[in-house]
Amino acid sequence: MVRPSNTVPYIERTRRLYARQAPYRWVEHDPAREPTPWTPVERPLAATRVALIASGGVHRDDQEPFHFRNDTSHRELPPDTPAARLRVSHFGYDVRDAARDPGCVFPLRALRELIAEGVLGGFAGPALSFMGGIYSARRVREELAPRLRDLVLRQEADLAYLVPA
Amino acid sequence: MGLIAREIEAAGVPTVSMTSAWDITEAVAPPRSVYVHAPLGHQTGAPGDAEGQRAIVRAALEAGLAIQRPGQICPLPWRWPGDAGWELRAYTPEHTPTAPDGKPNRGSSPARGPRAFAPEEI
Repeated sequence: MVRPSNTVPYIERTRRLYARQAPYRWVEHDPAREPTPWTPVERPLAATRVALIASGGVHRDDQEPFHFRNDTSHRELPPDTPAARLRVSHFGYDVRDAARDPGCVFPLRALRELIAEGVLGGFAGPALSFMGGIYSARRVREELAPRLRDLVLRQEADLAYLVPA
Repeated sequence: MGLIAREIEAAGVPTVSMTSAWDITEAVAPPRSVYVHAPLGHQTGAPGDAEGQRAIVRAALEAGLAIQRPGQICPLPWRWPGDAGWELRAYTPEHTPTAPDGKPNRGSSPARGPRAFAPEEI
């Protein structure tokens, strides 16, 4: 795990930018006290059914857009949803590129192509999409994470592929 | 997102997470992470580059599944094709982030530059 030399110091810049706000509380896990969960991978990629989970605020044109902040709802998008029907609602990052090409943060098309090539086994079910601008770690822990976990379990996915934005 | 990855992994389903924020990912420690060196909002590639996006997703899944140590972050060799020096500008006052209260930060100019991201893992 060699950290590239040019990574952006987001934590430091966030603290500086939001110095006038209540202090940012980053979630930190000390591996000594809270070991990182681990489930062994048992299948090759070509036999793996994947659940896509993405936080870039992507939804279908007939679904309700995400709210401004602390919206812990999610949308389910069938894997064959055409890119032309995808919309982005997210206040927290520059969405211009994602609006032009949702593949930047919502790789449905790339996954479809990999499945067609036989590289990947398939989709486990609809893609699960939400808007990552949630400033309450408690609400993520208590509302969103358990709901997404249960949906992934219901899909009987072999792998969850998580794409933030 | 790291919290969600940990929750799913703890329930018995392996996870692979994309990231472009190494320091945040290191702090939150999702089980398996793959790092893409690109501005936020491009964790699976550049707009209009379907071939590049497919290559990133494939490499990420292959590299992610090969991770052996919980919390490991694997960098992809892919290079962001956009402007050089974006790392220096990312998430600085000139680039107009939104404050947690939803208002633009002091000293920022909404008309100039992109809105910076608001980190999720808090």
